[in-house]
Amino acid sequence: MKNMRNWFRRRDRALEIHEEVESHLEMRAAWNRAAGLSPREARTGARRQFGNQALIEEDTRRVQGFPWLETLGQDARYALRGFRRSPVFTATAVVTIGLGIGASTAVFSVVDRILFRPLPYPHAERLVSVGMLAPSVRRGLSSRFGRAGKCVRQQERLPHTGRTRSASPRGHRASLGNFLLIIGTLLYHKELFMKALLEAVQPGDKDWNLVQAIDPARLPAHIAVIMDGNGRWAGRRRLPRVAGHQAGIGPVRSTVETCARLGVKVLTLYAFSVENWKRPRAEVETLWRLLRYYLKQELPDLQKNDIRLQAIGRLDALPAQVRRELESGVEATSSNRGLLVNLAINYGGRAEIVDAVNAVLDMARLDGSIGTLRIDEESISTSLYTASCPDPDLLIRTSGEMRISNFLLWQIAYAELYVTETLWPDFTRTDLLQAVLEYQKRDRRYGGLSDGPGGRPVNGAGASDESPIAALRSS
Amino acid sequence: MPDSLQGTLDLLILKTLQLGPNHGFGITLHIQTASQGLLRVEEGSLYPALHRLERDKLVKAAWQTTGNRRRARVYTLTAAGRKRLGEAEESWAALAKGVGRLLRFA
Repeated sequence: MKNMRNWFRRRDRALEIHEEVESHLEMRAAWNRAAGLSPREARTGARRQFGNQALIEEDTRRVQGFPWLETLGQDARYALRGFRRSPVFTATAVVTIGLGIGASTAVFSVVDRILFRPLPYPHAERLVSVGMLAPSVRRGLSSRFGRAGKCVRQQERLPHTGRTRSASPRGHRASLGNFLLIIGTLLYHKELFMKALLEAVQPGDKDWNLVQAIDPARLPAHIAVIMDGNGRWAGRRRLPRVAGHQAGIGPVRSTVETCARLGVKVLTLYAFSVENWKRPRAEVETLWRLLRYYLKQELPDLQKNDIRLQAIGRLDALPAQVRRELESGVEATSSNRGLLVNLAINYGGRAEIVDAVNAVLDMARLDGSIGTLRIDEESISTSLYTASCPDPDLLIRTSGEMRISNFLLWQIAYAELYVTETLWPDFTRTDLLQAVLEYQKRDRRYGGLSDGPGGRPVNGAGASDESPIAALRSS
Repeated sequence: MPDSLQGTLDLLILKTLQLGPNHGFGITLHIQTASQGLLRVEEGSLYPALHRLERDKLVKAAWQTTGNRRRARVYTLTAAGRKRLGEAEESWAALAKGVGRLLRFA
């Protein structure tokens, strides 16, 4: 208090000293005028004769009072001058500190509200939160892949309650129940993605560390795979090529399962290219047989796990029976909402683009706009076989070949490429997880500077960009 | 040495005020004219000294309106100031005598 009074007195003194000096200058100027100088010369002369006015006033102020306060003021003024000299640094520092303070305040407010203060309901200590897996995951993964059933419904104590779990859940009916359900779902959403995978991988498992390292917020939304190396795998074992194709069924199954558990939205498998027709007739027939076998074998499991099947390619060239079975598989799974598996059969990337352009032309002819038609990227994108899917984020090729081989030419514009020496029949969950990890290490620029997925040109929002519920339900 | 120079300025101020109350500019003017232009201090340097003397209660100050209706802060010698002036004059005389003897000796 005394300091404050002194401080105000000091301000008055500073003013007083200034007035005193000004009065001196006036008198000196008047004297100089009387000595015959012009008014302007008299004034400048007075200042010159006086000396450094600011310095003298400061020295005079310093005679009484608190040197440390004075020094503090000087230091502050010095700092301000320094800031003015490097405005970019200053702005950065100010913004950084500001954001820091803002974030801390916001987080603390939220934590205070959620954790420390009881909810504004009677008997708040009896509230429970209910977490629930979205229907797609629950229906999808529980039966086929096992062990998921137990996480369907959870009751947890809210952190701020000191009591044990409420015996009856009657407390949360109507709107309060919905409110808590939403809160619970949001709180668990991080785990939702990985949960299905974590249940399949136990601590000590060789994939455990890989799974732990994966960031569930930055999963690829769409993985495309060129399944290469079946023939080579068989050749190394002196087996017929068809044996290699047969051995390739297992990795297809495990890759589909792992993608479903990870929460990947789309998986596109290059099963049979248009060029494959050039292969020996017996091998081609084996491939069809294996496809039919796969469909027949896997369909019930695809259904149980909410996986939707789709075939892309020039399907009209397929043998009639294969086509029928394929179509019935697609039809049967069409209402599933989980992972979408695209089987590329009799597929070629150039053929797909040609087909897309022809489709645009056909449409234009039908609605009479052919005369003014202009084709743009959007019209081609939406006419491709994969029109409903985001573009692939990650393209995996097995067997070490550094080629695209006419696969998804349009869609892979910004895909991250991952080539492994592993032959397709040897491709395991470990290999897939490693590919995903490698993908997460990449700096994705989409042709620009590092600006993250926001700069993405086409319809490819990653799984992380959507709300967890939307991500699970849609596709 | 700076201390004794500062003391010299104090002596000049106190001696000037012995003639009667005066403001800063008046003191400046008196020092210049009385020394016949030999002592031309930078006018501003007077003020820290004046305020130090005021702090030490050797002079007291009050705002007054001068003859041509100008406000000025007028300083008056206090009893303590008068006493200090006596001491300062003595020590100055001793210093001047000592310096003079030294100069003559060499």
